Amino acid sequence: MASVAELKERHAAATASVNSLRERLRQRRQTLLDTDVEKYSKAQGRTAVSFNQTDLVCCRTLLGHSGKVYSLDWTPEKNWIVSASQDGRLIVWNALTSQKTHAIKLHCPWVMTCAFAPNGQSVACGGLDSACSIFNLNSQVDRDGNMPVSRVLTGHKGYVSSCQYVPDQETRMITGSGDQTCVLWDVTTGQRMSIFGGEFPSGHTADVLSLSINPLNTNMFVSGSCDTTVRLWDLRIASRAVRTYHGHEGDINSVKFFPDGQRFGTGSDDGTCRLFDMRTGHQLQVYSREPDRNDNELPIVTSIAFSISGRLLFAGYSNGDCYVWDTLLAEVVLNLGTLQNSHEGRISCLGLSSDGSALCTGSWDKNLKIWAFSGHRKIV
Amino acid sequence: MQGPGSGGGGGVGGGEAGDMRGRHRIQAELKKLEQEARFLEEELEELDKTEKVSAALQEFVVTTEHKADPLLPVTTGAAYQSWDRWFEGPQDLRRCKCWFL
Repeated sequence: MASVAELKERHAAATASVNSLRERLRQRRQTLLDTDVEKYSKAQGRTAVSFNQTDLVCCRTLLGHSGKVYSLDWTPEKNWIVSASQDGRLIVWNALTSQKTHAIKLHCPWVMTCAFAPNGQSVACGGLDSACSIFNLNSQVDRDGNMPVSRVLTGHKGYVSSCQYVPDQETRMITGSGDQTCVLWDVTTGQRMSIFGGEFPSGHTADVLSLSINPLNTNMFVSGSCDTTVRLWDLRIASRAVRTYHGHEGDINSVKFFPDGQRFGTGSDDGTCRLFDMRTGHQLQVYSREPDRNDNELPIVTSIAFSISGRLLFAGYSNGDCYVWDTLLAEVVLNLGTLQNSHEGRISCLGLSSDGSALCTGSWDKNLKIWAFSGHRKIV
Repeated sequence: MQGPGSGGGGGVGGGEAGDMRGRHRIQAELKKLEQEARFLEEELEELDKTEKVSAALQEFVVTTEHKADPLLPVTTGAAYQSWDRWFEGPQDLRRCKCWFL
């Protein structure tokens, strides 16, 4: 049997081998980056989207939370939104009328994420209790006026940072966690069906902060982590990540699939958003802010969303900005944070309605806002 | 593999058990590293057959530009009246029975 000393030698050699392979991969990939989306689009004569100052307006402000808003999600079909807040509540809103249809007091007030079920009948949330709680919106409230939990998904060994139902399936959900794993759950039984990462190699090596399921191939999802990478997973193969995407230099707070399901965007503590090609692993574009004139630290990107065509990338920042990037030209074409009636604090979450006609932003100023296009629309 | 306490001299104690635990831990980490090296080698081989960034961009740009988008000032395809529902009709706040929490 090998001695501990021999094992340590082999361990050091294996570490050196892995580091060398990683560097070779990085260099090989660099040789394939012959252009990016911005350079290509400009070479093709494309020009940036041009907005008038009153084209995108705040048409609703949803008032009701008494603490910072941390997360929001739209229903796939109706105009409903669920939001989660530091005040320990979920609120379900009719975004069209601004009415609150449900206000759910949570057992654990330290909530970080929420999601709507595909049929709009249930909502889920998770946070520092390391569990994901499901509420059926048709339930009768108890005698204290509280909505009962219909299921609790327990098993994570760290906080639940993100959750999303598998589209068109009320019964399956994916969660991301501070325990460095993602889990696929059967919501009806509460069982863990698969664990992505953890004991297996190719899993994340730090907290998972965000996830996004491919809208066109719901067997695939990506997860973003404090280890600065994004990993692509196949629901059918939990034993290894399909691909790992490098580039960011800080925690990845937000990942979202591009509408075509072939690419995905990211937002990070390093202050940039990036666009990656899912299949090849290439980094297609970096969306970097101009440095502050006063040389202050770059604001971090807290959340991102794509418009329904993908032409616009909405990015919320820690300083209250909400940049609208032209995805193809890598230019900021609007800043919702400077418009009339904008938020007064950090944008913590964003999401598009299912038909792409409205953007909802959630903020540390306790409010949610709905933005839509009110200008003259030209159809070509 | 020999069981704990059966290899080497010395009595059963923290020293030997600790040694065993250390050995198990290093072996597990080594296994993970060797597995990761295999994955990285596979990825290198795959990258040899991967096209450059420019190869996919034409399709990407054209497809993105040709999708209808209600938030764009200039867009293709059919517009839906429902896109403008956010600006239609009064919000009937009188019937709103919600309250501040």
